[in-house]
Amino acid sequence: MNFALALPEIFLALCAMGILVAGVLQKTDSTVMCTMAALAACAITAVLVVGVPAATGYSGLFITDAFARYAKLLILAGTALCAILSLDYNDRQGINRFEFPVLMLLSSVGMMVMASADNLMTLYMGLELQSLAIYVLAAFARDDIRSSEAGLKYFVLSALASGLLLYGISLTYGFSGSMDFGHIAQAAANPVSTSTGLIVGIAFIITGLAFKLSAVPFHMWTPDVYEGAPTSVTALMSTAPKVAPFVVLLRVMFGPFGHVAVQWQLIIVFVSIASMLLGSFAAIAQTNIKRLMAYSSIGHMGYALIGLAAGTETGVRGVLVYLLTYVVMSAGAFACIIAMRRRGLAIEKISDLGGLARNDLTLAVLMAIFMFSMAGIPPMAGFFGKLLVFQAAIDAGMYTLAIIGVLTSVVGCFYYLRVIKVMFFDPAEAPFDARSGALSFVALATGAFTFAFMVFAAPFVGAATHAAKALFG
Amino acid sequence: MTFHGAARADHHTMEHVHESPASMWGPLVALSVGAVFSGWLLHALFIGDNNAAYWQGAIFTGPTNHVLEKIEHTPLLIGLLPTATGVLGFALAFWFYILSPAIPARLASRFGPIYRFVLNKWYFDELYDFLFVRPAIWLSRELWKVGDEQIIDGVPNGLASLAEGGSVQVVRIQTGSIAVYAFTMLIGLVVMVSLFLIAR
Amino acid sequence: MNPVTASDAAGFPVLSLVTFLPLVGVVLLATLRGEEGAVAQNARWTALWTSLITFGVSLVLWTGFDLHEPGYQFVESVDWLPALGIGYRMGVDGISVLFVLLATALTPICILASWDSVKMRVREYMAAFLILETMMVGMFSATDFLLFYMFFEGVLIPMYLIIGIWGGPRRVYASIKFFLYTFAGSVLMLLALLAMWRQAGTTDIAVLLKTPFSAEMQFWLFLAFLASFAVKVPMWPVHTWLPDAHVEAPTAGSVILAGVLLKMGGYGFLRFSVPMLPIAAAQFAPVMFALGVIAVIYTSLVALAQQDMKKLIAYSSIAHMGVVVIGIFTLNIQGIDGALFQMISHGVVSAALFLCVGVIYDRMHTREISRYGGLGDRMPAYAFVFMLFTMGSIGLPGTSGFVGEFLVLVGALRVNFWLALLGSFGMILGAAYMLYLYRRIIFGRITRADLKSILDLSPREITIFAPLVVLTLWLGIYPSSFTSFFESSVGAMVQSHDQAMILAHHATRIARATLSIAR
Repeated sequence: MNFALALPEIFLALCAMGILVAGVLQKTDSTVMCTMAALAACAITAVLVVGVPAATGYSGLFITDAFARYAKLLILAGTALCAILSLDYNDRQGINRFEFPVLMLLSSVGMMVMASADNLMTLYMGLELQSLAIYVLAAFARDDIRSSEAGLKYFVLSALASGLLLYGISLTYGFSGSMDFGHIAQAAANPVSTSTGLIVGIAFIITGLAFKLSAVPFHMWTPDVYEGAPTSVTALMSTAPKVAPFVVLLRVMFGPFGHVAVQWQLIIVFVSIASMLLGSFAAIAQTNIKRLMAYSSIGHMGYALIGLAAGTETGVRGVLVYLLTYVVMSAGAFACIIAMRRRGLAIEKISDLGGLARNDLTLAVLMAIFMFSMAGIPPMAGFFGKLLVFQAAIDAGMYTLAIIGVLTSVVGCFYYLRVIKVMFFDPAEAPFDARSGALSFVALATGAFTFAFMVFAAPFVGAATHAAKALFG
Repeated sequence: MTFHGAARADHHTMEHVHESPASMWGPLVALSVGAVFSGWLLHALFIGDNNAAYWQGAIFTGPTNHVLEKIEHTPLLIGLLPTATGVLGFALAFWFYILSPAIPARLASRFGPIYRFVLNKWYFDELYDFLFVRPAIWLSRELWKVGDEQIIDGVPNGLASLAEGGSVQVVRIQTGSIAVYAFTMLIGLVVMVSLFLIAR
Repeated sequence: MNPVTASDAAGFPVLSLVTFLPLVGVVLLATLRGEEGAVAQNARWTALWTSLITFGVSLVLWTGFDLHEPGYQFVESVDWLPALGIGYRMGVDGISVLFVLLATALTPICILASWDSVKMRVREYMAAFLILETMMVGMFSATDFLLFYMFFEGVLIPMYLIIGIWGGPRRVYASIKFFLYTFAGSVLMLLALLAMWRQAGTTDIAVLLKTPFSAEMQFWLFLAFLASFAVKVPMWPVHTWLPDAHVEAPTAGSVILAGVLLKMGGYGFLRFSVPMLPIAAAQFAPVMFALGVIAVIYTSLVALAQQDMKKLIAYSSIAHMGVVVIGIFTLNIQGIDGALFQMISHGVVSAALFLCVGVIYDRMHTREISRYGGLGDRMPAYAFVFMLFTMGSIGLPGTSGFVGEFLVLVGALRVNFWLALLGSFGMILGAAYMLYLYRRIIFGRITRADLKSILDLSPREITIFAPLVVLTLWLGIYPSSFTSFFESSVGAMVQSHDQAMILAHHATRIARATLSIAR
């Protein structure tokens, strides 16, 4: 057994347990200390991830390649950003318990396992570990009925999705005779002779993963859970837990099911178009900023799926860059949302942002950067993600998909503009409470990244290209 | 009417009437000299026998165009006609406005329609107003109010309200009920599987 | 990244400096601290000096420009995303150099024009204008398509804020309409960009110019470009965002919108549609003529009925841009020269006209024409300036407007007599609505009590108008000092277009011949 391959995951899991023990043993409140330890764990894990050689191990259960490395670094970055965000929010919200960072770490262990999955069983294990932690997190404000409802709703629907995924896995196993990606690929090598059972299995697997991505039509939980869950958890949900299912979807679709691409492409196109349409249209009527972000992330997943639908290496590169920009700007936007607080109470109506530019110009400018970026306006980072996925679509000759994509992005642009309008054009409301240094740090760092991404895009695009190449072998 | 006869302006205005300053009458004198003598002075150069040398092709004359030459051969009567008409005009004006100023008024009342027609410059302004100005103004208002604000702007504004209405409708299925959500997922799955099976 | 490889004599990245210098001003503005009034005053001076220095640096382009070189000059090229074929490439040719100068010249004027009229959030306002300048200059000097696109879109952000924050009562509607209209057009251009990128493997404009695109592809690419540039020009029937944006924008916003932003569409046609898609350009020319003629006549008529001064001038801008479109698609030297000249001239004259409106708006806080009358008595200097720009807008010989329209009509005449005739209606109607406007505002007797104490131009306003007056007359009296900039570039463009058409013609003949042999 070569432990070196899974060393980052093992280390992170041990850290989580260590922090748990330390937290239990502490008499006083130890949230801050635990969170700091969690951040340190993330940082060390990231270093370990970089050091892991590219190989397959544990009888083909686990793969570490450039693709997995890219995904894991992104997951760790997202988790770390959200951990910083949770510090301030949980404290002021009175849910500052040391279990929070522990659960976050466990969830990222699950996500990292997903990213390295080379077997349907590994995939399922990782997915469940990630989800279990997030069920608890969603209901973390246990005295808040909305939070409890969100946790329950997410749990029930997620259980259904997991069931469907499991069913898909068993169908695939039954018709291909293996759980291993390589073997499934051989079984599905001839698209003509592929059995109907396998095809149905793929559809079920896509369903299970699309649920986690909150892609239409499996998105219904998203607005409610986003709104109900504590904002620190919502921030987490819209960053790393979107990355992991996406990379695993990429790996499954191009690995074991790569030969039947022509068949699943249609479904992905359908899901992508539906997500883009719903994400842009449904968000217009929202008045709650967290619900708005929910629809926004549905739309973003739709755009990212364009890259998958293209079915090419360029497409995968586009998705990877898209996810990177998405995680960063999402974390930033949530940092701004968490800063929305008056007289100690968290507020989440869009109109509460009224006249923010007069009270707190820095925050308003940062939020505007994230909104413009999400709308895909250059020179913000979000534009670059969109550019690369649309490039993949055009290269693959999917003109209709690309045209629908750009047109829905115009519609989507409207509600992002509305947020900016509220902040900059409307008369000023009462100022927000002073924001903490942690929030300012995250918002400024992600804002600077989003704004200046264009200048130093080359290494990131290079890494994504490398990762995409690794996926295609 | 301006210079002769009894003053029609009131006393106050008359006080302000005085000879123009040198800056006004100086140029006037120069211009009047030109008006009287320029034809005589420049005749030789402009239209005389040597005009070709003067213009040097600046004014193009066709090879069959001999209008200048023909001018020299017009009958004497026609040559004198402008002078004669001018003198006649002088005489008529002297008779009408100096000798018996009542005549114009009587003429005006006798030939009323013709007088008004001429007085109003043949109603050309009104004709233009009717033919061009009014239709143009009407057309421009129509183009603006109907063409621009209703038809052309109607498209984006209509699309916007359509999107907004659609948004409200789409959000309506978001009831909060887990059963509905789960049902939607299953419907979605069925659609996907059917798509898959149909497509292959 | 590789070091900068600049090919101009000094080896100095002038264009990057001109582009990003305003951002230095923005950084300075961000560091201003103190009480509000002092910050506002410092912000004004910082912005003014930044823009003046930028203008000063940009004059290097005027003096150092080689008039006989049709290609790009002051070229800079830095690797950016070499794997994708995207580079940071800057350069100006005869077509773009004057627009860069127009942008750098109008920005200080805009800042001066907002000196007193903008009282609230001055620092943000000045920052928005400086960012806008960066975007405008960058857009005109980018020689990489993706870079161009980024600046092209980036312009929307500061302009959206300028209209939305410092605009009139319907500013929210106007700003969102402006943004979404132009964004909707631009995203289709993005797809065209991607399609061209796929074929050429790079977004370098110089390479794209040499890449042959099939006739069918040109057709679709042209449509996609049209969607973007037609909105920007704006062409009928996608023009209605402009009057709204102009009416709601603050004076300086209107000035920059009319002066520079409207030129982005025409510039786009000249930079992409015509040279890169020669077959489609020729194919679409009749459509463009039709739209141009409709724009000229329709919007001139609509202008006649306006009761709001800014709206009237906005509509007149659309008519003038219709002339530009006609000129561009004549695809001959006179027409394109005329279109370029008309754009420069319109940039000066319409900017000045919006400033003229601003002058009396600042005093009376209304733009309704019927609220004015007889201003000539109280404001002789203003009446003179306004008259000059009115004449410039009409296209009176001796002013800048004449040269452009005349050249375009000459170009149009070479294409089709009726085109020239219909195009010239614009000049007639232009005289009608502009003189009508002038008469209602300047002539007559002052009837309203509040107008009796209105003040003539202040020294600051005279400073603003003086350069524009000089430019209008200079453009009109000695146009060669401007046409000489773009003559060789336009000549090269028309020549290569003609060659492409000949090649295409041969190709179809060969194809036909092969077909008949095959039969």
